[in-house]
Amino acid sequence: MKQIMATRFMHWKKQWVSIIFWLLFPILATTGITAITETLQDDTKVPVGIVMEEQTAASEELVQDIKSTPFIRAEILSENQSLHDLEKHELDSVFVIHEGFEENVQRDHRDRLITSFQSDLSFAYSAVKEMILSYVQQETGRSKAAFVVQELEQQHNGNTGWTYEEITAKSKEIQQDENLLDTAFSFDDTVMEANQTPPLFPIWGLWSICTLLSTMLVFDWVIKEKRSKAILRLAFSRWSLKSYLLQNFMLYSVVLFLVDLVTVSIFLFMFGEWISVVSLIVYRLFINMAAFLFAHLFRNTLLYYTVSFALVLIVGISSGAVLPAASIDSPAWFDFVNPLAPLLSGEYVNLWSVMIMVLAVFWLVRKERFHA
Amino acid sequence: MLNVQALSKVYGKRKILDTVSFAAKPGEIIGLVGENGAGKSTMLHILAALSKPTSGTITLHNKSYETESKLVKKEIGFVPQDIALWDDFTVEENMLFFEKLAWHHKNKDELKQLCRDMKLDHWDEPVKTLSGGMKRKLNIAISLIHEPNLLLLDEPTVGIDLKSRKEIGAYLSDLAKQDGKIILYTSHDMDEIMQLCDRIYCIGNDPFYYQVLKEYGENPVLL
Repeated sequence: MKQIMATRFMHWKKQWVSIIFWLLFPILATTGITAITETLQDDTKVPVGIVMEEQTAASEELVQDIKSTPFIRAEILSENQSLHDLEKHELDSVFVIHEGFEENVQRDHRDRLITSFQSDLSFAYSAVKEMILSYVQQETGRSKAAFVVQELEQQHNGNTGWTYEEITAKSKEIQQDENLLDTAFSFDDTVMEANQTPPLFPIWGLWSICTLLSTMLVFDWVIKEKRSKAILRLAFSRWSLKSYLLQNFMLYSVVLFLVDLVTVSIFLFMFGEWISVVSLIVYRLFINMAAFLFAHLFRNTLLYYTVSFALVLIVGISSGAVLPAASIDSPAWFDFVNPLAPLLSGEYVNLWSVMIMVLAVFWLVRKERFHA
Repeated sequence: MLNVQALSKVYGKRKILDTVSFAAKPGEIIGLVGENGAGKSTMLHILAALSKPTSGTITLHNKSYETESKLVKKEIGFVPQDIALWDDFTVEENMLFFEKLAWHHKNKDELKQLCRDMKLDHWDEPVKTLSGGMKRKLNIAISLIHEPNLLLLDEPTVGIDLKSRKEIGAYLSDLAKQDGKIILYTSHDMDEIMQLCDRIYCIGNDPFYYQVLKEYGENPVLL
């Protein structure tokens, strides 16, 4: 293995730019596409101006809630500035959180907590207003409930001594833990359970497709080296062609897996996304095997690249890794042969993996031939 | 000693080699001549253990090709008709690459000396920038890294200049005489064959080469 490593490093030294590029391609492409998508999404959000007349915990929390709403881009501005922007139609609507907001919420005084402004071109005003209203009602409701709990405790001579803050904090904790608001979707008579979460986030779906492509392109060494006349010399060396290819396959797999581990760390750090390392190892192993075996079918690298791009495109579109597969009329059997399915569903193998295993065994037992 | 007994090779209905027998002693250079498609390369491939004969037996220093092919391969150096090198590697890198995979290891100085012996000086130059003669020399040098006892050369000097041709011939001659290697050599160049080889075998049914060699005053053997 030491000798094979040395010979492989000699090849890598000659192609380091392309090797590094294709090794890093999945990370770069995934982060790049994600960043671009986020920027585009940001540009299509509804611009809303928020005027804060008071800086209290309740008002800050409301602003955070508004900001965390996917379709809203909220900006904190002065009243004059926000109204000026609204007149220029740079803002869709303006919401002023009045002084005494926190106090009124705690006292369950719901009148004139927030004043809103819209222009004749405000297209999302109603939706944004309703949403902000729901946040305020949620907070006033929570506040009212806290006072009721305190009153009840006093009436029944309780000795827990819960404060208002403790009760509201507990209420928020329960809300988060129990995920009170849950939505169920259904497509074509197929009912999805309300608590069924998607198998993985699109980040890993995107990465799995980019990785499939980069792996196929990295494995072009099989074609280049098999068609080289120099490979004939292996017949007179310590290693057979099969052993040489196999050891190189293992070497590539180790390097690619190390890059995968770096990817896991980067995605965890950048996007807070995690994936089962076992699923990742299995996925890596099978796509490496597939690319390795697939490359054996070609003598022309250009044809191999073309077919690889086409295959990755088909898999990318139909696998549901990025586009929602449920909306595409793909046949049910596709999940069984979809190379990305085990990774995206958090499983390890499917029919595709079994097929690759069978082909790998076939390749291993097949007799090698040299042509001088 | 290389012993070939009643060797035949049939592809489909076509008989390429028909009960060929000959022997070669250490230190001998044997030339194989014949028209294109006569079976010279097929013969070399069989002797290189790259393909199997339809019938017949071969032994190299009493090791059978059939039963001890792995041991036999360690003793064979094969120089293919094509340039079997990594084009983007330098001479040094090519030598080191195949040294890593070879049965016998040589250090960098020994590899450099091997190239010098072959009058191949461009140690740091990429193969793609070398002349045809230099490439041919490197093609041979790599086949000698593991110090084979039997060296098979399939038209090793095709398309190169006279100087390189002479240098390669002189080196092979020394290799056979001084190191006792058995060398089998195919070429279409009669002058080269006659100058270099101790014995010449004509392969195929066409008597042309036989007649030509007779005219040159040689005594070729028809296989």
